Amino acid sequence: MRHSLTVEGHAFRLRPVELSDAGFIVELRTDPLRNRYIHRGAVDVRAQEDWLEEYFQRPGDYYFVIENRSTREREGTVGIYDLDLEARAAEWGRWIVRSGSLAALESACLVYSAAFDVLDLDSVYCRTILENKPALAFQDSFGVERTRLLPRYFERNGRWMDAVEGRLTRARWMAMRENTMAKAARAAAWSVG
Amino acid sequence: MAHPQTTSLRSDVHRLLSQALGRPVGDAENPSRETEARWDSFTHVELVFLLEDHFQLRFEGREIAGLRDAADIVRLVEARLAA
Repeated sequence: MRHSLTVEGHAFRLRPVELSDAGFIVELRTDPLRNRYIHRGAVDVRAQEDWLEEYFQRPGDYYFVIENRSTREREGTVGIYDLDLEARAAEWGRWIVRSGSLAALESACLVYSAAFDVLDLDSVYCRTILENKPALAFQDSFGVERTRLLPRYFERNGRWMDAVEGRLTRARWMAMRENTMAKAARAAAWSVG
Repeated sequence: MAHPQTTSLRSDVHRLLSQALGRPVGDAENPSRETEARWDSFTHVELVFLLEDHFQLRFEGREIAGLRDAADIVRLVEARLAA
C-alpha cells in the first residue's frame, strides 16, 4: 500500500518503495546470485510497475527500499506484509540486498523496529527456503526461533522446495535489541561514505 | 616456506575464525563463505569485529565485502599491518 513509513538506522534507512524504484527492483530480482530462492515475479520494468500499482492498493503491505543514508544509494528491498491485526502479527520478506552491500544486519534490525515500535505488532515471522543456507544461517545467528517446517512451500522451474518458518516475538526482540542494535551501530561505520 | 610472521598471523586469523564459526579451523584449512554454512552475513560482521579488535585495525566497507575466505583475510590483515 502507499505508506509514509520511514525508519532511520545508523548507516541505512527503510523508505517507502516508489514507482520510480521499479527498474532497481527488477535489477535486484534478476541478479542470478540473488534470485535462486525468490518468486520469479516481474522480469521487466513495465511489469514491475504494474505489480507496484497493485501493491499500492493493497492494505497491510509495507514495501521498503533499503537506502544508504550517506550516499542515498539503493542497496536492497524488504517488506512487511500479510498484517493480521487480530493476531498482531505479520510476515516479513522480499528481502534482497545487492551484492557487496553490508546492509543485511541493520536492515533486519530496522524491520523489527518498524514491526514492533511503529506497527505495534506482537510477533513477526519469515519464511526461508530450506536450501537457502546463508539466509537460514542469518536467521539463526540473529536469534530468530525456527517454529515450523513448511513442506513443498516454494516452486521454481517445476521443483518444489521446503521452507522453514522463523518467528521473533516482541519479548524476544526487546531482550536482544540492545546488543543487536549495538552491533549494527558499530558496523554502520563501514557503510558511511 | 611461509614467513614466521605470516604463519603466526594465519594462526591468529584461524583462531578468530574458529571462534566466529563455532568449530575448530585447522591450520591447513581455507574455510570460505561459500563452503561454511555458518559464515552468514551476521557471522561475517561478528568476525570482522573480532579481527578489528585483535589486530587493532579499522577496515573499510569495500574491504569487508570483498572477504571471501580465510586466505583473503590473512592477505588483507597482512597488507594493512604492513602499511
